[in-house]
Amino acid sequence: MARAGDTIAETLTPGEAVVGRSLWQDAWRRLKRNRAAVASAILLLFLALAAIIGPVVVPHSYDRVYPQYVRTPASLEAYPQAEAIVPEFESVLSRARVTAGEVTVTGSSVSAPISSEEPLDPRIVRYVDRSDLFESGRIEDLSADGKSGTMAADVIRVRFLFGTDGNGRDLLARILVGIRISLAIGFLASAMALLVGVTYGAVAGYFGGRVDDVMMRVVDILYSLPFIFFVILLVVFFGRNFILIFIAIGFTEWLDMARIVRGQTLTIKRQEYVQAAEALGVGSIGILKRHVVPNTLGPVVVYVTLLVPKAILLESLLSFLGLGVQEPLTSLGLLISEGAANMRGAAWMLIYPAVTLTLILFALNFLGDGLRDALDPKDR
Amino acid sequence: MFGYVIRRLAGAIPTIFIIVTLAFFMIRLAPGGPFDLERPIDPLIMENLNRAYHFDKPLWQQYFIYLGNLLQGDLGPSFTRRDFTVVDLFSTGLPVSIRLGATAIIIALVFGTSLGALAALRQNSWVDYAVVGTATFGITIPTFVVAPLLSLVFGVMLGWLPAGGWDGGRVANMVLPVTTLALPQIAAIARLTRGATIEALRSNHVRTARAYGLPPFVVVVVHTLRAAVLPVVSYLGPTAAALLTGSVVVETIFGIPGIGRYFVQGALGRDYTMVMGTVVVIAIFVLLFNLIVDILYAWLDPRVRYD
Amino acid sequence: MLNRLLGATMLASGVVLANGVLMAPAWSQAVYNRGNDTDPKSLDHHKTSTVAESHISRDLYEGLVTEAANGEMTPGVAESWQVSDDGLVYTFKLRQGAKWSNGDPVTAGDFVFAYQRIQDPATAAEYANILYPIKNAEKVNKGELKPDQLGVKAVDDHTLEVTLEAPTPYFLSQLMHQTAYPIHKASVEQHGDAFTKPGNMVTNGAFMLESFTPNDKIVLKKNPNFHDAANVKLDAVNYMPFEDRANCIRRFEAGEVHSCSDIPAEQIDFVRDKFGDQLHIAPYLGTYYLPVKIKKEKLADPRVRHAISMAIDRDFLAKEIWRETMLPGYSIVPPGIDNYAEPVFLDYKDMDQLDREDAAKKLLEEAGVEPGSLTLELRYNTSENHKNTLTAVADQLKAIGITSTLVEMEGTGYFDYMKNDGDFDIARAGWIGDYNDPQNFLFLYESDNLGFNYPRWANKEYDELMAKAETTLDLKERGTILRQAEEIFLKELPAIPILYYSSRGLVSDKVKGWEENLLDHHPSRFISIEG
Repeated sequence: MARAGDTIAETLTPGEAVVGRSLWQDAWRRLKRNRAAVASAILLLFLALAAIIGPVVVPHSYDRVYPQYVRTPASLEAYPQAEAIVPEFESVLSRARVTAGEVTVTGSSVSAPISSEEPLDPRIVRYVDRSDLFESGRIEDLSADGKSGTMAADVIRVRFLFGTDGNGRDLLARILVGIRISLAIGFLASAMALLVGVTYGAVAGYFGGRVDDVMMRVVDILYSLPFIFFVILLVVFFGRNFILIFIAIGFTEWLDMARIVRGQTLTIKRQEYVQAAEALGVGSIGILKRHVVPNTLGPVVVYVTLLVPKAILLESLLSFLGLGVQEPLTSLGLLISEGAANMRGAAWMLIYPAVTLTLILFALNFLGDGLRDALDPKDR
Repeated sequence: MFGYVIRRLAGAIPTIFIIVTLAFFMIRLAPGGPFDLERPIDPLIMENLNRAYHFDKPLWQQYFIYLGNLLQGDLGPSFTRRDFTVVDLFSTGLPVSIRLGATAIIIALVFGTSLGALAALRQNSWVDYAVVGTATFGITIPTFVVAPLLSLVFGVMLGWLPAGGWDGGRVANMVLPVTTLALPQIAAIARLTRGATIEALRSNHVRTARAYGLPPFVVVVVHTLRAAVLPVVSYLGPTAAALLTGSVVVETIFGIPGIGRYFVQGALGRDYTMVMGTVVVIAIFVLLFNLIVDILYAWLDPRVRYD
Repeated sequence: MLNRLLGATMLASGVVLANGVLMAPAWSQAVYNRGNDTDPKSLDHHKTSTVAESHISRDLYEGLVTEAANGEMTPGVAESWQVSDDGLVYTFKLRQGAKWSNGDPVTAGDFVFAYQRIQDPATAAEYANILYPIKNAEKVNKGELKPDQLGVKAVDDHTLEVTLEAPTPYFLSQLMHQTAYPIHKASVEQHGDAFTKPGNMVTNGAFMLESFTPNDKIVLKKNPNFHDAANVKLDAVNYMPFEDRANCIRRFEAGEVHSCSDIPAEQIDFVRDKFGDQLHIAPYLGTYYLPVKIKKEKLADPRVRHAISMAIDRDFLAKEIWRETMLPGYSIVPPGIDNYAEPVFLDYKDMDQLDREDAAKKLLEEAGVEPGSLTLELRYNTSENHKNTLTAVADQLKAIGITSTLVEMEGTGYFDYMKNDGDFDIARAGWIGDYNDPQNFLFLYESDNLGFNYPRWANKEYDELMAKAETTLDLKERGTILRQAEEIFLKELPAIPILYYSSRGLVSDKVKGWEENLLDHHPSRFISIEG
């Protein structure tokens, strides 16, 4: 985007004259000048780190169910809120089948006088401990006949910064895992599309003629086979798993890549340096590896940055159709589609994952733009 | 040119044949059949059903029966919608999908190209940033979030438009689904146009035209946009094919009787003929639009020649 | 290309606008916009099996007996009937005024035709087995006998005689099922499979078919020839399919739909707050249970199965996961069913969850299962609610030292897998009764019922009791026998009942004549729209 230093002379320099390494150094230099791209890269790195380290740092595990905190709104305050403690303690005591008096809350502990027809069984404290709200339940001031005393416990304070989901799991922890899965799917699928697409496109474009015709006809055919069909088949055969999803997405996304690389190759193979290499007797594979593929990388890199968001969005479409990753794992797409179903009544379930996805896709887009500008040979 | 079109169309026939063959055998590989429901069917009745729909014959025989019917334009009966043939379903559904899709494409083209060009002409100004920002936003929000949100805000809260339904295709019923379909396309087209326009503005012939002192409007419209529209055209090919054959998400969420849902409904319900029908229709659209793109390209860019 | 499309679009919208103007008097009509789960597979009721399909057939047709707004059986086309002393022969007197929508009289012959057609193997009716109690029905359906050997006979135009294989006390309630509705013989013979097309279709219910646009709506118009047409207040019913149930709620709120047939569990709280008593949650004739693969060594011991069952906190599932749209379930036959003795439940129904967990751990110990050694796979078909339910169950099993993983499968593949003795550990299944009788639940686990008996449980005593009940005329005695069968089931526990279904409906205040009932049947003929 920022290309303040343009001059006509620079722009007119033919890009092909610049070789190998210096092109990349040049690009890198210009990328660094692009503030939006740099900020995006930093944000992406931060999110990736958060996804890797985050689940360890966050106090809740992504698959831990808090039965008492199903669909708890996002809040900076710790739960339980004061007014929730007393009824929960009463219900715990009634489960323990003791007669309870007035419940008093002092600071972080709670207590109530209890009595029973039979002597109190010390094991009833486990009813208290089982609750998500209380810990270290204890019976104090036990009377001589053992039939009355005071039940006391500490209140467990937990925070759900992003609220909880329909099963009572911490949304923040799930979003972090979701970022991890979504980014992994995005990058792995793109890597796969890159590998297959570049090889295929370069071979088709370089050999041309019959080979090209047949290879591109195959691409056409695959193009007209609907993607979802393919995914459903895979899911049906192998069950739902993460590897499958990125294979499925990668397999459909390489088609565009192959087309782009083929187009580039068609131009490149007419260049003097390729013809020179051919005249010198360099083999086809050598030419492909040394000359063709490296020179297609500019547009390819740019396309990859567009592919990653595309893959992430495709994964979310699969999740919407119920073909996404398997519980208890989750992805941003899955979280958003759950959130969309809960849009009314539990808006936080949609907002936080959606904001996260938007941030990631924004960053990838700006990074892609930055890369395109940086790699544009005319823009030097 | 005419000869080229004829050759391309002729070349499409074997492609469609291969697609049909692939799809036919692929879907049969999937476990389960059209009659596997949550309430299982008595094995005996299952036999009756299989006989009634020729599933008791060997697969290759079924394949030739299907091909034979296909050549006569018969896509077979639907298994999950037994009051209709697949042709019935498409003849009511496809016009709906085409109407929605075409309207969305036109809107996306008009808004996308103008916004993109505007951003390029005012490069690095607040207009540019606003367009790029909004466009990126448009691409990043999944349709299945936009659709219920629009329905909720404009249908339920404000009550300006119907919250869903088709109602025979009233304009009011089309606004929200068309908007949902068009938004990401406006975004994509605006970005493409912006990029291409910036490049075109810096190209030699535009510089020359400017140097000759041609009015800026002429330079922009005649010289720049013509070149800038090329990537948009190649983007539109597959996009138009996809939009005109309907969107699962939009049709499900707004309750629209297009054909977008048939593919997913068919695949999940193992409605073999319905899936095959969708595959054939989608293939025809993809091939057709690839051809249209190539022709448009030749028309817009004199350097490209098909002989 | 684009220009031409644009032109076509404008032209089409012009036509529609003109139509809209022409159709303006529609406001004076009473139209019921009725949300339904999905489109029917067919309007030919012999080819239907689902709840959504039954709603439409119920409006289009009237059987020999029919149901009132509260779901109770009332005379339909038959004015009266007699049952022979041995319970085998039913003689129905058809009402004189019963007419088809084209004015033809409804005759005994139409019923004979319908019942023969549904059993004819050529029809390939999916639900023909509902009418297997009729003499020779199964044999006809198997192709062993000709359709005319079926035990139904038109004595004269207004007298129908039905002979049964065995006295079947629930036979009359089966006749309320859509498979037992008549069919207009002449139009089927004339149009073949196309008899369900608008214009061809002739029905005898309160409504008749006007149009059917897939994924859009089915329009039914009032049938002026219906014998009780004077009391039918609606002029038309629009059945709209809602695959996206949230969409139905939005359209309900926007006033575009009068009722929704289902509400996603995650929106219940919101709907309850927003619409108050327009939300109807009523007991429903259905059970949600977890079939267990009893052949597997680790699950072969009933004590292990009971331990798993005890660890499942059904109150949590019902209250938090299903937002009180399900009830905690402890038996396979849902409570409130007709023709049954005192209901029987798992004996730990009233035990506290923590005590149950202790008991479960003890059971596992007795069965020789080391804590932490048992790993299970919980399998379910794609659905948000099933996912949440089994996620919660997996968490609850942790408390007794059982580790479990979740496996989700796409619907069709899932049912194919389950039916074909797939290699699951624990799966999920649900059953909604077709008629109000415990037999309709207990037959699921008869050993020869390979389609439904996912665990492949075979218990001789159970089978014998079921066979005995089949021929027992005295309803009370029969109820006791069936109860004994369920006791065996609950002792062996090849499938763990965890919830009873509730019906969930959202019905506008403007809709009158809609009554909650156990089968969740709401014939449109009793409904009117006010305001």
